[in-house]
Amino acid sequence: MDSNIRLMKGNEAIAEAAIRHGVDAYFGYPITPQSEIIEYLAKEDPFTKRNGMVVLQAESEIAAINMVYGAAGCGKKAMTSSSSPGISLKQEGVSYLAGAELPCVIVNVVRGGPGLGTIQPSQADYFQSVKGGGHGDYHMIVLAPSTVQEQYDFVALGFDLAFKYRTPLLILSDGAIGQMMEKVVLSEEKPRDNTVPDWAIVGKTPNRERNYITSLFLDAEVQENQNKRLQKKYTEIRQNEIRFEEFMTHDAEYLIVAYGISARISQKVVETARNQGIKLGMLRPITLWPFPSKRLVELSQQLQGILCVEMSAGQMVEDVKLAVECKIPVKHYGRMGGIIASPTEVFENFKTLFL
Amino acid sequence: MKRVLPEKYMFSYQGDGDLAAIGTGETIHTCNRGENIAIFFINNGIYGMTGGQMAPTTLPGMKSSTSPYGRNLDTMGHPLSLTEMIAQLHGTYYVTRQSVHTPANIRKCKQAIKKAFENQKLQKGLSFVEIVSNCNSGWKMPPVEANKWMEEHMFAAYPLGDIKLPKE
Ligand SMILES: Cc1ncc(C[n+]2csc(CCOP(=O)(O)OP(=O)(O)O)c2C)c(N)n1
Repeated sequence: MDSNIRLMKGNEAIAEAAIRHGVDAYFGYPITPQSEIIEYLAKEDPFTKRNGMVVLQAESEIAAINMVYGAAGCGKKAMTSSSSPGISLKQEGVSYLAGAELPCVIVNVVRGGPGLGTIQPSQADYFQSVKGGGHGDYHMIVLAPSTVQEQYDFVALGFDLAFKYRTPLLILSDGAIGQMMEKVVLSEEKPRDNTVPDWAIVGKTPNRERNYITSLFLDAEVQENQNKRLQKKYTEIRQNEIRFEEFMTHDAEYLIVAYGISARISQKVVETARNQGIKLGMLRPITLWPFPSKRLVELSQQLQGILCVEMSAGQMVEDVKLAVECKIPVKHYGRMGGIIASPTEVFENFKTLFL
Repeated sequence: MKRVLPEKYMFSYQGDGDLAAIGTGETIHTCNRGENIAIFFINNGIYGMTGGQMAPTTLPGMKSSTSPYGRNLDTMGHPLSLTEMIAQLHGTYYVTRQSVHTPANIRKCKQAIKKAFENQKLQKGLSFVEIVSNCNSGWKMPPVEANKWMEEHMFAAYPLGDIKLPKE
């Protein structure tokens, strides 16, 4: 327990990060391939054995997200996790959290769909994650980890951003990263911080007005103003929080855009291509919303084509096409339903599509 | 389904994680409306499919992957018996609790299942058959031991027998 380097599953890394970052409460409901998050928390029992963090198994995903709404309204660091079918159930709650401007972290360890689908990894929840998912004009900040270390690190980063902008934030993982084991460098355990933001519901004290948390504004003008506030915030997030990583892009003539587990596979594809003298590079969006569109536009000046590698029928590829305004060819390659493409398969398809 | 295909026999086959947790609302209202169907409720005190997490029916002190130190009633709530709850609703016609761990119990359970379908044929309304079951993989016990544990512990919390019989 003392060593700060550990071999962990992606799901366990999220759970340990929550405890070490001083998260106040986790509410969840079991679903494969992410049940290790709640199981790890149950075993660690931080409420009695570590720092008093609340861990509760709810009766459903809907109950869990509404518990997050309650705890977040109290100004606490609250989080939940699930996998695709369960995340769909949470969407009403997510929209309410966005409308009421409540910070929280939600983790989706994506599995193949639609419907009950499969328990194998997938990236087919991209649209749901970045385009809204629930009703109304809102966005979540979406972080896409591609290593177990990032699963760990993005919990802290996620809460920092969620509280900075008072917005729900999604960690969009997948069944492969959730289940695989890698080395993780752990941070020091932070004590939980009992101070809460001034907007939090903590019971009215005599020296201030009461705080009120709602997503209900019946007067259309008031509702429009609330929307304008949200849009202003989203503009600010677009300006300040775009994150991405580049691999061999300096002289690239072709580019792969991939996130999460697909980026791990695509990195291998880039290496293979380079060994054969093909100038291929990769851009890995770390924030899927906001999307690194500007950087893609810059890179597109030197490119002859872009390949989006996603485990879906082609979702992020639409944002890439929008970014470069289809001025250069943008293609998609992906497997669906829980199948992970091999580097060889991606490379062969890249060659057929572009060379 | 029953409303759109009323001439067909309809039954649901549900676990405790399904019927007593995520589906509690739907279960109660289906029973309350007295839908002319049969519900078969397999109570093994655990979420089997997902790898042995705590269910609403998990017994006090019982270990599961999300109650590794045993179910703590103060923080995790009490075992929930939906069967007794729905028996109180006007919409339920026949409510019984059975098991299938001995040939005699299998015979009794068969009778209960048959009765549930007969009730449906006669348009009597909702029949609810709980079957107390084991889950040797989830309970981490050999099958014989799991049956013994079920008899000693599960039947104490979930006693076998008819709970609501039609008033003839
Ligand atoms: C919306 C949603 N949440 C969670 C799950 C994951 N899940 C599959 S089966 C199950 C519960 C299994 O327990 P139970 O209903 O008691 O049936 P058993 O496997 O024990 O027979 C859960 C939580 C799911 N399939 N869908």
